[in-house]
Amino acid sequence: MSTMSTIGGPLKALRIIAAPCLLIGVMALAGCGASKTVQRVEADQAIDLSGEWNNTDSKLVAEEMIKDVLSRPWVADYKASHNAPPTVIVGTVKNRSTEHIQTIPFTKNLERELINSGRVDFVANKEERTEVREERADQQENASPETMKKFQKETGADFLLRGDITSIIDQEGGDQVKYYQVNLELINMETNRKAWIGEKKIKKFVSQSGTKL
Amino acid sequence: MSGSTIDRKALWVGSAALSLFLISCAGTSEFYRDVERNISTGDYRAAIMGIQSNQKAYGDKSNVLYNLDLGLLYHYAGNSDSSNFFLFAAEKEIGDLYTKSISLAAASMILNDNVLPYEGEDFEKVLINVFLALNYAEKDQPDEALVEARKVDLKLREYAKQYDGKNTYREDAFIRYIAGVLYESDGQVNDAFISYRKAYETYKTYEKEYGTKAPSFLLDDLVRTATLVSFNDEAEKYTALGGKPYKRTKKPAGTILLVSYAGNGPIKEEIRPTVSIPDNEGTIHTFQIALPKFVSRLTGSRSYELVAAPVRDPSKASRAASEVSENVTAIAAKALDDRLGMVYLKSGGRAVLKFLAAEKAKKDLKKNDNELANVLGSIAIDAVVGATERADLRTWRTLPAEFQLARLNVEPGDYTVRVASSDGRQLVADRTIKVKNGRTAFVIVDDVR
Repeated sequence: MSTMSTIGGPLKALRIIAAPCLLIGVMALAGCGASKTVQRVEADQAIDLSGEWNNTDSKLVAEEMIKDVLSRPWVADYKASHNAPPTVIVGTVKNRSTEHIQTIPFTKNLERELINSGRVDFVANKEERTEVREERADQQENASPETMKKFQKETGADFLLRGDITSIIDQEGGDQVKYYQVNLELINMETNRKAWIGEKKIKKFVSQSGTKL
Repeated sequence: MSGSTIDRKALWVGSAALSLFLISCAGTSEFYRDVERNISTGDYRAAIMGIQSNQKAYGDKSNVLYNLDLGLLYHYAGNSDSSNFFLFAAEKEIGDLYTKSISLAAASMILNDNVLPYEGEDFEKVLINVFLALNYAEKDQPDEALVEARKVDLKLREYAKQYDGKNTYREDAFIRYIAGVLYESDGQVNDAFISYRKAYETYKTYEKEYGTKAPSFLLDDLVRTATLVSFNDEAEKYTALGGKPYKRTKKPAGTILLVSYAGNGPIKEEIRPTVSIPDNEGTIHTFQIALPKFVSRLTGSRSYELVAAPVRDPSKASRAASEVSENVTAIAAKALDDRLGMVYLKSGGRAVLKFLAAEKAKKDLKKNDNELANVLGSIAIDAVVGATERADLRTWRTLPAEFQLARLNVEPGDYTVRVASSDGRQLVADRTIKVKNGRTAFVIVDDVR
């Protein structure tokens, strides 16, 4: 027993570092059991993973804002004075936030809501117009005279819908409040007057734990 | 006797852990020499392959560095999509590392910080977004580049909170300037002016803390944008400070902005300062702790000359010399000093706690009346403490030492752009670019050697 106690001291000292090393080893092994699962969900089901702007936000905001813009008097006013529904074009929605938001799906949502409302006429946006014009130019060469479409027959838009998405982030440690604001405005193309200004806010609370085992 | 069996096991596990730890300390330096040689000759393909075939050498604790290195090498190579992929991967991983492992934190207290996953120094985390912004700028996507500039702002504000606003690197003048250029290029002159002004104000701190002055053309930018948005008082103010007076004109104009990376960024070396602390009985204990310290790898100063010649009339070339606009080495040194001084040592510091634990263990030994056991035990404890006390020297080694800027306001059109180091010896770039009306064409070149 006395010989054992002679080397017992250094052993005890080493045990100080041995214990956490063992713990780390066990944890490393425990981490290997992870597996992947797949679950089908409805396309309109809201799923928040990262807390970033997602397709649910895009859809909800587009629906609500178009509902708002169409409920205002400018539609009826225009109809009364022109005997025809106004023609609207969706311009650019600028991303001024702190995330790489794809604004094209959002403007597509806006376009869809506008068309489906049946309250306004709608013209193709800049890129689409270019493509159609190229096709029309091609027709002049290749299509039969009866089916060939003429130049300068396009419908000009009466109103331009445009806007931006901004975000304010308030952060404290692992807690984050994200505040998105979508601003849209409808501009009368003839007078540059703004026929409508709308905003929609989305607030999210994202929390990340500071510790794990 | 059963006690001694456990002791033996403990000894075995302990020494195994220790030797494993020592092996992992051998680190990444072997293959890295080749990688750095390839970077210096501009052979990024080889450098990237060198890193990809040595991912294991980084270890899973330093995967962030693997992504950062690849992201930056692809950026140097001009492949912005791949660069974005790896830089975003690094950013995501760093975000996840906010959640700290308690068990690893405990292990780091006993061993050292090398057992912790590397999540980057604050300035490194900010530079991720700077390079992302430059990737988007080079692709002529100002909106996306500005998202990255805003993320820089967000991060710096968050870091400043952790230091109660007392840290040196609270604002980044370089990204403010780049944001100004991007806003102006996007026709948002009001926002451009505000960014230029923030850059100008931040360069005052930069000059004091890092010896980096505002680029000489910044005052011209301030006068021009202030005039364009009719901030007449501001235009006068910056003209008085030395900015070129600006007259509104309908003449089409564009900009060529040179961003050049000069020299190898700093690396960390271990220093072993001596620390003295009194114990409860008032006895002063003096011992060494291991801390990282940034050392510069840039010798002398470098400058680059940008020559832009219109393709249709090469005789009308315009030139500009680059100016240091972000001294990464100086920022790194200050940021590390701030972290060690204000966070690490203030919170007790691993080394101090480890020392106290060792002293306690030695005291416990003294209760044992076997003199030899006491001596051997004390030596063993000191040996373990000494062997495990290592500074965490991990750092983003592919970073440049400096960012330099040169600006030319030119007529729109196609240009042959040549960038040479100002001693005339080395040609860094030779390419043809298109400058559009009202927009800025970014020319990003590297001289990281």
